[in-house]
This record gives sequence, C-alpha cells and structure tokens, in this order.
Amino acid sequence: MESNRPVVVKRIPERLNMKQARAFLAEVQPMLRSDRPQMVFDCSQVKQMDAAGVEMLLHCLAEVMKRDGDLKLAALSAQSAVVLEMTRTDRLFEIYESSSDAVLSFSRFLPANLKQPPTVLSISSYMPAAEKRPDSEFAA
Amino acid sequence: MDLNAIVVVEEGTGDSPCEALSGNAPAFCEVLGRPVLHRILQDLRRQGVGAMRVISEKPAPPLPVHSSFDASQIQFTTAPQPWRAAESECADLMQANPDAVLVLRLGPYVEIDVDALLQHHFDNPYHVTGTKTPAGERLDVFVVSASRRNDAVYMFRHQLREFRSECGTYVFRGYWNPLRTARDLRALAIDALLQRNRIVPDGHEVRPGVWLGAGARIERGARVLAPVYLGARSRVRRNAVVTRCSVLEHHATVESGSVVENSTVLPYAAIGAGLDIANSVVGNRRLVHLVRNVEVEITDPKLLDAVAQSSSWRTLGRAAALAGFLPAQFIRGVLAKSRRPSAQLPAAVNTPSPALKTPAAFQAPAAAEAARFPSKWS
Repeated sequence: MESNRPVVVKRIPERLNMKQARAFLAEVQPMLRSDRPQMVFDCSQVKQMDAAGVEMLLHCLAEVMKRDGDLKLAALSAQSAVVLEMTRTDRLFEIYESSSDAVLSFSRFLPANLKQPPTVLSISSYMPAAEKRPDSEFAA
Repeated sequence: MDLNAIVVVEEGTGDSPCEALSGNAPAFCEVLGRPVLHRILQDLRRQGVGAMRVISEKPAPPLPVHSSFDASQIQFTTAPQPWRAAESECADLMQANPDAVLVLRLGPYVEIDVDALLQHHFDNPYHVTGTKTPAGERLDVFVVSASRRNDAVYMFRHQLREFRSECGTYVFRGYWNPLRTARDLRALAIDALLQRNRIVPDGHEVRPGVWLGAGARIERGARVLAPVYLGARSRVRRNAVVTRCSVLEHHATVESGSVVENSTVLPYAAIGAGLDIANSVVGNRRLVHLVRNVEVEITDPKLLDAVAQSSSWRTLGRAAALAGFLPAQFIRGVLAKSRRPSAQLPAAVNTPSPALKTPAAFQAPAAAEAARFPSKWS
C-alpha cells in the first residue's frame, strides 16, 4: 500500500525551549493544518529540550492525528532521546534511525519494525495428524 | 602498633561526570548519606589508625557532630598547594615516632586491610610499600616507615609518582572503586545496598532493605521497593515509585507520579512530577544516563530542579508556594460549576433500565415490522 501524498521533513532546532518551540510551531502550523499531513521531525541537531519542547511535539502529534495524518520522529540525538524517555513521550511516537527510514515508512503498510518475516510452512504442518509419520513428535 | 595517616584529597579536572554532577571532588561525594572521605576515615579508625590529617584544596565536609566513630585526632587542612601541605603535615606526624605512616590519595574508594598491608611492609626490606590491584592498577595507598622522613618528603614532592628508593608492592585483593565516573558512583551505592562492601547506609532499616535517613518522608500512596535508600530529609511525594537499588541522598525530592528506578539522586536534587528516571545519576541540574552513556544538562525546573541548600530559603520557598496556592484554590472554588445533583435524579433512578424491558425480538409488532423491512433488491 503506497501513498502519493508528500512527506514533510522538518529539522528541529538545537535548543527547544519555550521561545524556540513557539517559533518552530508557527513554522510548521500550515503543514499541520493540511489534509492528512505526513510529517517527520529530524531531531539529530537537538542538544537541549525542555518541557515546552515536549509539549510542542505532543501538540503537533495531536493536530496531525486529528486530520488523520501521522508524525514520526527520526535520528534522535542522545539528549532528545533522554528527555523523551524521561517524560514518557517516546512511546507515543514512531521513532526511526534516520529521516529517510521515517519517510520510507509512510509508503509501507506497516512500519519496518512491526513487519514479520514471511512465514515458512513445512509440508508436515499441512498433513493431517493421522498421516504423520510415527516418529513425529505429534504422534500419539 | 602505632600508625598515623595522611589523606590527600585530589581535586579533579572538573570535567568528569562525577564532579560535574555533585560539584565536588569525588571523595566529597555522598554515598548513602555520608561523604566517601568520612567513610574511609571511619574505616581507618576502626582498624586502629591513630592521628589522621586530611589535606584538600577546597574545604572538606565537616564531620557530623554526633559522629558514629571517634573523630578525635582527625585534622582537616585546606591548602592551595595540598602536596606542600602534606609534606609538612607528614613531617609533623613523624615527629610523634609512630611505627609507620599510611599515605592515601583520594580519588578511589579503597577498603584497605591495614594489618595485612603493614605486615607485608615490615616483612619486606622496603622503605615505602605501594598497593596495586591484581590487574596491575595503582591504588595510591602507601606505607612509609616512620624513620624514613626523606623518602616521604620525596614522595610528596613528586605527588606520589616517584620514589627515592625502590618501592615494594602489595597486591590488594579487597573491594575498591575508582570513583572516576557517574557509573562508578552508582556501582558503589549498589554494592553498599547489596552489602558487597563495608559501607553501611546512614539511617535506620525500617523494613528489610529499606533504609531511611533522619526526617525522610514518604507521602501516602508512594511506593518504595527494597533495596532502597532515602537520605535525611528526602521526600517521596504522592504516587511516586522508588525502586531497584535507587538512592535518594539527603534533601532530594521526587515529585508526585514520578518513577525512580535503578538511579541515584544526589543531594538537593528535585525530580519533577510524572517523570521516569531510570538507570541514571541525577544532580546539579544534570542527568547522566548510564545505559545511553550520555550526560544531559536540563535547565527546565519542571523536569529537574535544585532544592535550596539553606534551610531558611527552603522555608521561605514553601511559604511562598503555599501563599500562591491558597488564593488560586479559593478562586477556583468560587468560579467552579456547582455539582449539586439535579432534581430529576430520583425519578431517573426509579425508572427501569431499557435493557430490562422485553427484548424486541419477542414483541410481535416489532417482529412483523422486521419482516416487512424494505429491501432495494425486492
């Protein structure tokens, strides 16, 4: 299942405090209000994030979900990862190693980490119990 | 046997995580309610060491008034050039004609067996005996024969790196911790809680594995799971959880709803409400995550804050918080919508639930209606 809608990648500034968070939100607001927005926030540059920054991320996620879109985080710096883990918000976002992984994830039905490898079925599993060889572990 | 000791507390470069977190030399860091330095002094006194001189660049934390060990003959000296001061203090101690002088540089936490070290020193023909771990790491614990004053002076002039004559080696097989990083500080606290070293938490064991310092407060609804140490005047607010060998040093605070797991909260650190602190050392508005191996400075007081060190400032702060809280609550109470039950409620309660009526399928008219359901294909 593929999507033709564009994916917007935005880089979060180094310091995400109250002032910066407001400026960033004003910047992304038009994209958040589009129809079914698909967004990726690249957090690789983040060196400092406070509660206002986390709140801004949650606000963006809520706005995007309201419009049936999705917001994913990519390339978390160690600092941002620690703050997100500390504030228990890391479990609310899909987080990817890189922005390209996050962008690609929009064109797939399931995120890569949820994908299961194809199941390989052995012939014996199709055989009815009576036809199984006597040395089988399922034999009576 | 008469043994005196010189303890030189080395100031670090200031950039190690251990120092950045506590703002002190590693030897002054508190572990389970007491500085590492005090624990080493107590251990030496317990093993019969007499006069002790502690030399440091910055003032050492004072011994508590009601110390659990005999603090007499322990003298603290602050000097801008600690090695020079150590040299003169050592000469002073040697004039009292002890059998030997023990010299320690802190740094590391070492649980030295003084008797075994002295025995090794006197069994071998060296004037100075140093200690090493079985892996060959130097521990900066030395014994100098008291009659060898020049050897001692030479040692101090070269900051314990060079010796006038050949130095003997004692292989130390006891417990030691290098105390270089936040991970080491955490490891020392865990080992103490699990009784792997001689450190005894400063407080009372109220339940097996749960140690409380004087004035520690656990509010209703909070959960504290052993092994855990809550230092003097620490606070665990409502619905907070402290678990898995976590340590709250004195005056540390965990606000409501937060979870502290396998972490150390250093003195005067306050953790905000509703946070998850796991595998970390927190203090001085910094957090070192031991799994991610990263140090993060957090300036937002909603996440990490510092409690005022002065008791009067703390009292003023609480009074201001209360003064701000009461008017806000009053206004909220006046402006809040009334929750008085509506007059129709008893009637509504007496009406039987629609679920208790006869099911629609058993009602003849309803069944007939269903039979006549219009279909666009019919």
